[in-house]
Amino acid sequence: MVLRGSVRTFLTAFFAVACAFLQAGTARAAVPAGGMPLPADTLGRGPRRLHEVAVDARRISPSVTATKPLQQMGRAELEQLGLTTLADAVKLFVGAEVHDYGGIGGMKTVSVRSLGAHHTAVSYDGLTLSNTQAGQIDIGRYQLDGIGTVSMAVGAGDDLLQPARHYASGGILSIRSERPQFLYGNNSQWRVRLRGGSYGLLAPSLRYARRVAQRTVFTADGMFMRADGRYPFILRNAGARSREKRINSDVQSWQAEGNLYHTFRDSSRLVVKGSYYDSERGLPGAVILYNPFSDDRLWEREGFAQAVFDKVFSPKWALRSGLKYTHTRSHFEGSNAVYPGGVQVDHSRQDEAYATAAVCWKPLPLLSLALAQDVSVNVLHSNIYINTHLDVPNPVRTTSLTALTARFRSGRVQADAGLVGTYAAEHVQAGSQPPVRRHLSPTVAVSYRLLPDRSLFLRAMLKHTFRMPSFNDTYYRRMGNPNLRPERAHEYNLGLTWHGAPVAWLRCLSLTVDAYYNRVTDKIVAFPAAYVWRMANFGKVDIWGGDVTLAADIPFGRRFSLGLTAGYTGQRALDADSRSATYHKQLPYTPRHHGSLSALLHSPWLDLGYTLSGSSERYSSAQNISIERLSAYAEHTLTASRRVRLHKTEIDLGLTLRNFTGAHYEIIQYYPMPGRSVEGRASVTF
Amino acid sequence: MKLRSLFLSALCALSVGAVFTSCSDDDDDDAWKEGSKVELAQTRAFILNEGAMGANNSNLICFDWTTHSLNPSCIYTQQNGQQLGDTGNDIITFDGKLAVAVNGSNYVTLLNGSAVELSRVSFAQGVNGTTVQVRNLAFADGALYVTTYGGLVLKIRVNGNTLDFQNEYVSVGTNLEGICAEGGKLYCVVAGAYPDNDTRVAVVPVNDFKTEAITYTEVMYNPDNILAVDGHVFVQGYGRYYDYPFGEINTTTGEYLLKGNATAMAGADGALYIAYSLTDWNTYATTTSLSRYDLATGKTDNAFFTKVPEEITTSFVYSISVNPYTGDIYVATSDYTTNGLVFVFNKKGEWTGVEFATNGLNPNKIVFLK
Repeated sequence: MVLRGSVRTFLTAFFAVACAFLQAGTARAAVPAGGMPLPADTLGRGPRRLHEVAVDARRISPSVTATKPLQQMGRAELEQLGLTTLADAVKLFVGAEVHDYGGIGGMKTVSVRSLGAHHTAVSYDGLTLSNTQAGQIDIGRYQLDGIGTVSMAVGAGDDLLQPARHYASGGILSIRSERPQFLYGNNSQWRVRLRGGSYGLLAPSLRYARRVAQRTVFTADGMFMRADGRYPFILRNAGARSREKRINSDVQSWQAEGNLYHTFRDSSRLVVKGSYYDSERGLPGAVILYNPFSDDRLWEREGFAQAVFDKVFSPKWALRSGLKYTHTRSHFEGSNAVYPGGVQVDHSRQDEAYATAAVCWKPLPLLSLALAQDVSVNVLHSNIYINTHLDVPNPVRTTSLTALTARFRSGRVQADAGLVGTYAAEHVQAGSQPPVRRHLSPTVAVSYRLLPDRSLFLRAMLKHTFRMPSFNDTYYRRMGNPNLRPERAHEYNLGLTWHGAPVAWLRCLSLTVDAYYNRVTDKIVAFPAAYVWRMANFGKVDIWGGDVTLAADIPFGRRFSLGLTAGYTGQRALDADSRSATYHKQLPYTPRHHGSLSALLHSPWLDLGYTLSGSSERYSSAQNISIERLSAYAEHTLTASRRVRLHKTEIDLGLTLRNFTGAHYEIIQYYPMPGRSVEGRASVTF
Repeated sequence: MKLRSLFLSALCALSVGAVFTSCSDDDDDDAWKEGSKVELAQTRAFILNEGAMGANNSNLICFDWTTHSLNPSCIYTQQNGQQLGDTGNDIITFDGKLAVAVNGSNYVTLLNGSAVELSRVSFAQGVNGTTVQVRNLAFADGALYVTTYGGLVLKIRVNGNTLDFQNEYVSVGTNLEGICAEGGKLYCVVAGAYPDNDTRVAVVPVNDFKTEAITYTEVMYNPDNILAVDGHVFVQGYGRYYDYPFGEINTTTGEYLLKGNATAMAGADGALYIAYSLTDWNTYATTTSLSRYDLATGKTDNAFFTKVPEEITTSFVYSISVNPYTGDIYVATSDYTTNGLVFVFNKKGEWTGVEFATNGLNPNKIVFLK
């Protein structure tokens, strides 16, 4: 007990001092080299009491010190800004484009710096989510009720102990569950939450957390969400405007999750998670003039179980390993004359077994090496044939990813160099079998502190990645092409970051400026020929851009403060294939300017949050002509929240006015976004 | 032939005269542009651009077929204050009027010769509980016949300026495509549903419009397009291996005879004009050949078209249309992502040097009025 207390005190002191060192610009590393967690008891000198050190300095945000652009939001910020879905949060990240098909149940995918959603991995508690059939993750279905942090990194994150899949992706969106914080020394805790609002939204959730043993915590979450999605929108038809209501946009979902957190005596940690999701939704499709009929529906079920184990063997060796099994079912039904025979029923079942292990070794004080090995097996069973009813491929893909990364850290320099090797083999029951794909993808990232006594960093990154063709790209009826090559992406980034407090009235100010160039080659697109479309590797894209982020914390006396974050992206994402009819035209749905702003005013009585996200005009097709132009938009959201404590009970209340200016806009053409809406929430923790 | 050419030349001259005449204030000559809000030539043609599915960007572009000066805006929108909708799939002319089938928006509209809407029938609610989606049109004996996905051929009576649908239909098969009228019969393509596509053309007597009266003719796998030229009926389809066969249906015996390969075709003046576009999946290059099939001799002339610009031979020809007044052949290309292009050949098959953009995606057909 005394030992544990000492270690905790030591760690607290260590980090506080380390942060102070970093702030002051000492040449010492601010965090343990190699990003390894510290071993639990390395002193070997028996119990010892250290005095706590109080340091009045804030730790520099990782977004400033990281070699690659990184943005993050925590639980409090998410709540106080009224962000209840993952897509809402991601829209505030600079360089992220959310393709939002509108409505609570509408599909939402994220693309980092216009690389495309297929290049963006989504990680949940350390392991990636899987959808090999579509190749992209619908982030619209993830509610933030049980989420603690959301972060987005270009390239991979800065941690060395990551799965190889993280290293292999062009961008990564990470969500981490909220860990319970037991109040008043309780060993168990309940949280009951209710959200409700416009368009029939009702979302109750329940969380139970229990410290089942001294080092073991268990949490169980249950969530239900339903919305009728009948939101009004303005339909423009030439000069005429009519007020319509979206139909067949309802959604209903259940989610249950259990987490077990265990810390072993040697401080190694095990986190086991089980999750189940079940949903039914209408797919309203594009708004079609004169024809409101729509009855396509989708049922999705997904269950996964995962375990992540962290162990530090010594100051030189650490391990992180993970196992995951995911089972997904989807069922689509639609009746429409356009479907053969008037009805279409598609069903599919995906299974993924995934294992990852990463070791970090620090052979020299300045050098760390990390080796991550992932193996996954993906199986798809579906009724989607290629050419005939007997021609159902039911593919099995085995993938091996190996990532080797070396990190050199000395004084003001941190340099990472890595190589990801991919091997993927596929077997099919019918039809053509794709060739084995092998690929090597290098990465180099450097951060240099320009001035020894200032938190001013120069960073540069070059990263090559590729994305495998999805099962739909390869096998979808008529369109699939088993001979596709992987799509390649090359990312280059050069940035300047700074953290400081230039004037007395600012507690801190962070500024990051990054310029980037991405080139995507062998793009996997649907290519037309004589009335028949087929997936093909066709085309190149050049993406030139710049990201600016700013974060400031301004205190007003002792009881008030204002937190501001702002971001701007400017980019040209151009068709770079001279064979293309749209050569040098901006890619569809890629704004040249995108910005976001959030402000949080803390007061003793109320927290006020304001968010703004907006884009300049975009085009719905590569032709870039006026009739395909989508208007610029800005969406404003205001949230008031209050936390009160009554005896041993914590009550959180919040009210959000979303899109309070009532802007009517579309992110995807003819998929209107909801107008003004209101959402209230209340939660009781005891 | 010479007489016909002379006649057409005379028609042409007359029409040019009509253009000049139309500039005068003589109200009697302006009946053809009744209700028009925009200036348009009497020698006018309309390009139906399909647009892209789900994008509501189908349009109707009008140009003067004597000068090839083009009104860049959608004339349907200019005349009617609203958009055409989603995926115009067919346009025909009869009695100086236009009829358009708009597939996704699921309606058939009757327009006067200036594209002013006179009447429309929507099928968004289905027909007697069957969901249908309109595809193609034919006009015979005072009625429009409409093929549909959903398997019905619908009969819409045209009463003056009004479309009158009285739940008259026949059930023909699965997923109907092209339709044409010839010799008192309707020839309807039954495409079927992928992957078990149909191989038939349904023949329905116009004056005995009943399901029991339908007969079927075997053609190719997955047939698509059909047209009648000078008493001949030609059908074209995908084929089982996407080799795009076309052939002729003997209107007397119902027998089908394979003639060659075509991805687009149009007929007039005793000939069938054919485009055959193929994409090489290794290079993604598309090559197109143009030819003329002579109805009388049954021979294909691959050298008929001359001075063919490279933009055609390296592009996908989306449609061919023939101006009945001049015999000029309008070859329209598409790359599916940018606006189509039209190249005008004279009736001798020589490119006239005239080329213009269709101001819309995927030019489905051009129809001509005067």
